[in-house]
Amino acid sequence: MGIFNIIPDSVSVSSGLFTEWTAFGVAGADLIAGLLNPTGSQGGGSYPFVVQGVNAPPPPYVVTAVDNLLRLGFSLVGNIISLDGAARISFAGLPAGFQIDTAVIHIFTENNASDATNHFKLQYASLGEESGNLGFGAVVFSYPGTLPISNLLNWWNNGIGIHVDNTVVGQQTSRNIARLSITGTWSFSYSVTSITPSPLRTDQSPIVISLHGTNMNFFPTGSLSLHFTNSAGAQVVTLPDAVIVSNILATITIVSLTGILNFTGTATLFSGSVSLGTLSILYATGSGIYRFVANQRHDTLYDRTTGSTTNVAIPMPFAETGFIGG
Amino acid sequence: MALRDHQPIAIDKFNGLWSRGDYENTPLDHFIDCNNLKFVGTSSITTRDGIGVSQTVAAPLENIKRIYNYPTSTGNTLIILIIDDAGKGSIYHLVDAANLFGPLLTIAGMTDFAFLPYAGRGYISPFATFDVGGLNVEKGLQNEFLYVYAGDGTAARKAAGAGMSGAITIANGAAGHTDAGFHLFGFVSETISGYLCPPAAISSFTTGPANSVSFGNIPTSGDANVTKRHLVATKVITSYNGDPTGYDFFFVPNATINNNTSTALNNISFFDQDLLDDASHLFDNYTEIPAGAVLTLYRNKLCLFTTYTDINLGLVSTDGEPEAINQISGLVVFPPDGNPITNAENLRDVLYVMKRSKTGSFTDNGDDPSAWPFIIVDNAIGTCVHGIATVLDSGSASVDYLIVCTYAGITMFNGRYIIPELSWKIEQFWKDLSRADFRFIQIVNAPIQKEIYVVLPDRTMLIGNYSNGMDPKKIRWTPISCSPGFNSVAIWNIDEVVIGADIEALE
Repeated sequence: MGIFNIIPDSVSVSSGLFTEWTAFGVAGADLIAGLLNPTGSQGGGSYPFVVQGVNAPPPPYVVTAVDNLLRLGFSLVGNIISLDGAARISFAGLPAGFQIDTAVIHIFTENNASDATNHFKLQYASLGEESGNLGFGAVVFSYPGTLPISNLLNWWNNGIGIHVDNTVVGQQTSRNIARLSITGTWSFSYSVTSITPSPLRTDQSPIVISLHGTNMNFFPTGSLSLHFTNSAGAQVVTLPDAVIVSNILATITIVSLTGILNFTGTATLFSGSVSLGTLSILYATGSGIYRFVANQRHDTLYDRTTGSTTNVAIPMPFAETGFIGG
Repeated sequence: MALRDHQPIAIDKFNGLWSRGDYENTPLDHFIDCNNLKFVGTSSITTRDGIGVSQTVAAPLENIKRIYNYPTSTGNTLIILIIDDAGKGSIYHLVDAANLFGPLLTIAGMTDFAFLPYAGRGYISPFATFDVGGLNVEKGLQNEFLYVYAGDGTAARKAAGAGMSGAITIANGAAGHTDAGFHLFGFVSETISGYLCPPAAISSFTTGPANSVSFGNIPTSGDANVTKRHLVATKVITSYNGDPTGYDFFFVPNATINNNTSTALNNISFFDQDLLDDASHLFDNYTEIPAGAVLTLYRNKLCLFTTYTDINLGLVSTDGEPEAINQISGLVVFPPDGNPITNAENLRDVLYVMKRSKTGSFTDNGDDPSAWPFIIVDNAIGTCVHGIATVLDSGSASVDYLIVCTYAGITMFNGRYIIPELSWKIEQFWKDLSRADFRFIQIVNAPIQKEIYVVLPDRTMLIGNYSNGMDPKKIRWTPISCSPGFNSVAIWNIDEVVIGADIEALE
């Protein structure tokens, strides 16, 4: 799991007149860029994009009241998502199984103080529009939860609209919007169709772990590492860099493992990890016929890999008394 | 309270696990949790003894699923089930640490088996667990049978067997004697395990008073395990109705061919009054005995329960002939209630039969098994397929009781379940076990160590030490575990605890 940040990479005016305030002397394209960049301060000021309705000159104020829609788009191939602060990449570059777990839409608006209502609304699709006007400041909508769409893929289908509906001539309303972004947490939900052999036996070496299905899209160059963690999440083995060949994720040799393990791949492309599923590791070397040996202070187990035996500690002898006193 | 007023509490007795009620109710000399302990003396503990390997051969058995004691005429040995990667169960005979026979029998889908040693031989019944309406049912494998193992490393073979086929020729022999008249004659083949096949090759002949009878063209059996063939005959039939199986056959004294090769038996004399040993029941015997999930011995009779087709059925053999089970009179039925028969054991000359939550009894009244009276002993308590403690290599009862794993706890049974259970101290621990997995439980009693060993569903083991007394409040309990999971346990050579571990998928 990690943290993502998404910004739009296109903007369009869906209908009517949409006006920008150029009082800061900056070209409109820059202002739009400012809207698309949530971290920058575009146009020489802190309010990169302005919408207002007024009833009087001087120019460049718009004298016409507006009821328009500015739509911000998200493309699949543009570099719009940053994972854990890394450079932005495209959604097409994300591995299959990437999913957004939680999301918050941020947008900054500012009133021009002549109207208690800013007349901005966010519109997520043609079917859904946030019911009330945006408040001032950093307004957030949480996902899952109150976001009025069922699937975040709608962002890519419909973008996010900014609906300006100030139709009162002469009223100067909210004029500044900026810093639209979507942030939240992500993880991978990966369906491993088979890992062979499954269950894994520790006496079978090497063990080829193959992922069948969608390409993982891990493209590290020698920097992918594989980790086995036990059911409690503790990492018990770190394997050396693995080589990805087609859908074969790794060829590894397990010498001795215990527990049901989560097989986790971590790549530099993403700082998070991908849980590939649960592997049952069969401790084959331990199976056999045993007997208690009086006064022996360790367990002697068969070791199928060497054909001999191995001594291991008796697992965690302990006794815990009940509460004493009160 | 000032520290100097503190009265220290000395704990100098350690009496094992306590798991019932709140932690705060745990007696000071008991543990709320413990593992891998061994009880020393009357109230001390130490780390359990380590385990060591039990086979010294280069390729020891692996993936052990079940171990039974197998006393043979020459020693106390073990019979062992392993399961390979393909899911095939194979049974081996471990003679000692360095000598292993097998596989004696390999069957796909055999995840467990019932075993009964008898006269040096071993009777093997493969079974598995089936999901029947959400209930795990252990019953004999479909289209599988009871097998017999000779104990000598040869492969196990199907118990019982079919009669021979063919037609014999009969003629008057040398001077001798018979009760003159119309007789039916046939031959019964006998296998190496003493099983008598149904009379076959039946022909009629009218004997004379002053002649013996000679037989020719006697068929040989295609079964390589046949070692003898016996002549059987009817008494004089005054009015033959044409049905050769409709008459009582008897073994003719001194008319046995001690091989499976000769085709002639000449000059046999007998009178009808010599025909005492009845062979008629052999017609009705199973020639293939269906596999079941339970085997036990009662009054020298082999008893097999829970076949694939009938989970309430028991098959009981003839006295001393474990493979001779009459398909009509050898059947006993536990009244059906949707639950399979899971276990059966002899105690005080009564055959107790258990389901998972019910116990009943059959008593041999001298009549055929089908006429034995059935009595419900307990309508709420029963056990699982390996839930009756075996004692050393003998099978079951120690002294005059059984130790039974029930849903309520580990309970002594002497004709009734004794309350409180032996596991009274650890009632919560026991009741936390998954009932659906009780089939994995196996219990043995080691009277020399004065300990009970119970393999649990999670493949750890529970040890009950009763050196302070076989009493619910004196017995001391501790779980133990090791890196390989425990699957089976047996007592070997009087007091050697043998553990079977399979390929492990640790939790």
